[in-house]
Amino acid sequence: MSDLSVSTVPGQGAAPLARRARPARQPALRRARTLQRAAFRALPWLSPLAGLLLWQLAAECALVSEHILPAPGRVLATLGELSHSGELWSAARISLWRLTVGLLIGAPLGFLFGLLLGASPRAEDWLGPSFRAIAAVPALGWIPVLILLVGIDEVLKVIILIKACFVPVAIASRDAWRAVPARYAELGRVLGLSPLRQLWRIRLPAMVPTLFSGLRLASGQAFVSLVTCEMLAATDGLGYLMVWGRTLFQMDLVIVGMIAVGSAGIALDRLLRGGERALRARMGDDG
Amino acid sequence: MKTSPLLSVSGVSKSFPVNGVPFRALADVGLELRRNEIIAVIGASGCGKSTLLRCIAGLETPDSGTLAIAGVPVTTAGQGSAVVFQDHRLLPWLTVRGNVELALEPLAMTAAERQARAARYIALVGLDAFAESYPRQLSGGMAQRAAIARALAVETDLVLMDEPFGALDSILRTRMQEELLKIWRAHQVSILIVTHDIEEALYLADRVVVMRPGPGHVHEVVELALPRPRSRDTEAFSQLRGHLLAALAQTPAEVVA
Repeated sequence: MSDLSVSTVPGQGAAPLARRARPARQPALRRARTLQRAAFRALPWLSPLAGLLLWQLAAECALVSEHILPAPGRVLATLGELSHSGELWSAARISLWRLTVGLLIGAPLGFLFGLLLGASPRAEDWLGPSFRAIAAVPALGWIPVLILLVGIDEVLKVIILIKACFVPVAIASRDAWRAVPARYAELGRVLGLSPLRQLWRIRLPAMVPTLFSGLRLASGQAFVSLVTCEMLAATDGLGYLMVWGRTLFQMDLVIVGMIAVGSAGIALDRLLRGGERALRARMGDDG
Repeated sequence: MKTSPLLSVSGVSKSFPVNGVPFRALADVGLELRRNEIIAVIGASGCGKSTLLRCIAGLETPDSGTLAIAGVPVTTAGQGSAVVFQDHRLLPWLTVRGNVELALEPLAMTAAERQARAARYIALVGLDAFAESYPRQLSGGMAQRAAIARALAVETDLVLMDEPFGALDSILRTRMQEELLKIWRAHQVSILIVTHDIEEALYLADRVVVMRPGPGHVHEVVELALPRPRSRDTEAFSQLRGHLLAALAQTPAEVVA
């Protein structure tokens, strides 16, 4: 493979040069590098720390009433109490359970519907506009009507969440289908693959990146809808914990709820990202 | 059967709308390809040479005329021919081996047979060491070799090539042409190659089909009586080059070389 051997020549030529330059610069350079790396790692923590500092300051100077903004230490204590008593975990468990059910039902349905919209111009013509109209009404806009129809039980939350997952996944699947390069579709035909094989071996793998961003969007939206839904119409879950704190005027409870929701949101996104990375690594993509 | 052509194209016409105006890409095109023959189709852009290849590959349906491979009319893609595109068109999420094996999936064979056949053709194009590499890890020439392995592995009698070396630099292109001839001699396939490179046509083909645009039609078929292996700097070679240049040049401004 001479086109390979040719490409390695400049690399070999450059190596001695770099080695010669290194000893003189190394200590200073290394120190600068370490500093830079540390700065980069600290960067994401900078704004939360500044916020925490401001918060502590505001509490200490009694700028705001303790009933409205309790001190960080107080919130921390409440967090400890709630997690020790298990209240926080049971609330989180219920919320995550609802989210999982919503994702497990809503995402596959949305995926299939999105494929239909993507693959069939007729389906897009017939169903597309009504789908978009339904999608434009936020999940929470359905609560008043749904409460009257199905009551305030678990079914209500599940329906809201299914809807919240269904819409972004359907849109992402439709777009992903349309975004598959025509060259790949043509290849499937030229190779004489059956339609099912073209779908399974060419279309779906080509759709993976777009699908995953849709799934992440869906889980984010579903989570937001879930918490709001629990605040409006529930007797348990993280959202309810926050509402409960507000009614009792225990702002530390509310803030603990906010921390829990934020952390769960990050964890969920990380989980999906990890899944996507694992899948793409299996498909030979290290990007 | 021995004397009947492998590919016969007759009276093929095709138009498609370009900006709402029907564009006549092919008008009454006919040609025949014998077994174990290499035909090069050359012509200026817009002469319909790629449309002709796409019709033979079953990717386009002609408005009229007949296309048959080994006497069987072409009705769908992937029937009786394999295609090498200008871009290698390897699937980025599959290794070289995966890409070649994918082409074998429609064939009735066991997984073991599929693996063995893929390995044989990957070795044929000299990529054995890169069978587990992904397309983005390959150079342009290596990727195009993998694409050729994928087309040959199906073992159809007819291989269609649409400017297969057009994206490669001239040194690599020359070497790939030599390799292609080596494979062709060993494997007894018939090749129809569309190119805009007159030298490529002269180096590879038994016959050169010159097409002209407006609407696309076959202007001339030139039989190349050059012995193989061919040298690019003989008198006969340059004479034929001059002839083809003249045949292509509808008006002096449209010379393509």
